[in-house]
Amino acid sequence: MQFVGIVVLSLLGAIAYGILHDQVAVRVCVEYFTIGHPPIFRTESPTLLALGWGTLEAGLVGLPLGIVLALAARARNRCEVSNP
Amino acid sequence: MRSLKSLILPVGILLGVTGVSGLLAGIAGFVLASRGSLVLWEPMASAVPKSRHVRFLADLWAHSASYFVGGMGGLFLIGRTWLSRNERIVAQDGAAPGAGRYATLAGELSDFRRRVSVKAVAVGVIVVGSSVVVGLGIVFVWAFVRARLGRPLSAAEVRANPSFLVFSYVLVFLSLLLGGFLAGRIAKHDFLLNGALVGVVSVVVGILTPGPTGSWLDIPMAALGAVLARSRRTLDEIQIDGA
Repeated sequence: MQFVGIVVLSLLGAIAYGILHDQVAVRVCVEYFTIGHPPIFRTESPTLLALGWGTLEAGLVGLPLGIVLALAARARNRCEVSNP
Repeated sequence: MRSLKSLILPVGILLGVTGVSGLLAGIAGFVLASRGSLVLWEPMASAVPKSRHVRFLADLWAHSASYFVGGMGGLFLIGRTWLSRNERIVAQDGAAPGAGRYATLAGELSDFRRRVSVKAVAVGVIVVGSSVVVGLGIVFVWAFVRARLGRPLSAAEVRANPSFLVFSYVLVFLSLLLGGFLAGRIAKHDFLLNGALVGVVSVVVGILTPGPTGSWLDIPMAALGAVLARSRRTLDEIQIDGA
């Protein structure tokens, strides 16, 4: 359960960061998302656009890092397994 | 083992540091682009309205910094988490708490200085710079020959030429690979660290000077070169042992 919790912590933390970051970025330059990114989210709303890209991009970084972090935190050492 | 609760603060700090880095990089990108030190490359330069180039570059830098700091910071946090588990095992075995190798910041800095080979990083950076200069020299010769043949190209035409773009990317990639490789060969230890430092210096130099380097991608490219040096060294050692 702790393992899953660490993965969820990393994933949700990254997604929250990504959404906040992109909400600011989309207001600086909306073309960064409409021209600089492929048209996955077909919306005219900058807020929804940033919500979609913030979730997708940050999630793709947060999930693998979260899994490796959970492994580093919770995986058993060989000596820990052999000890009673 | 580390609990979920013990990781909430480190993850929060990492996100905070990433946010500050993104903000500072965005401001730096905006200022440099406003001054003309930073320009948008093709094909994006034609696709984005000219009036939006500065803001686009500010966003690009903020995003790049967030990815880099978040990614590297995440790897650092993973390493620290793993090492802190080993420290706890040492402490449980009777050593004083915090007596581990990475117990203090001063200890870590001292360890960092010992692991970095200044000579290797310097040689790597010089090789990267020299390779890029030689490569750009070839482009200048090509432009000169075209001018002599009565088909001159302006600087803007050269930059917009797809062949030049591909050549630039390949040139920078190979230069960084070579610089990182030589840094690894000279250092003979901590290959990834010394290679990555070649990339870090290359990014800083690229930002401060007009040229094709300066992307944060320089760092993994140079690190890859150093890792290749480690693989090569391992193969050499196997051959020596077998002889």
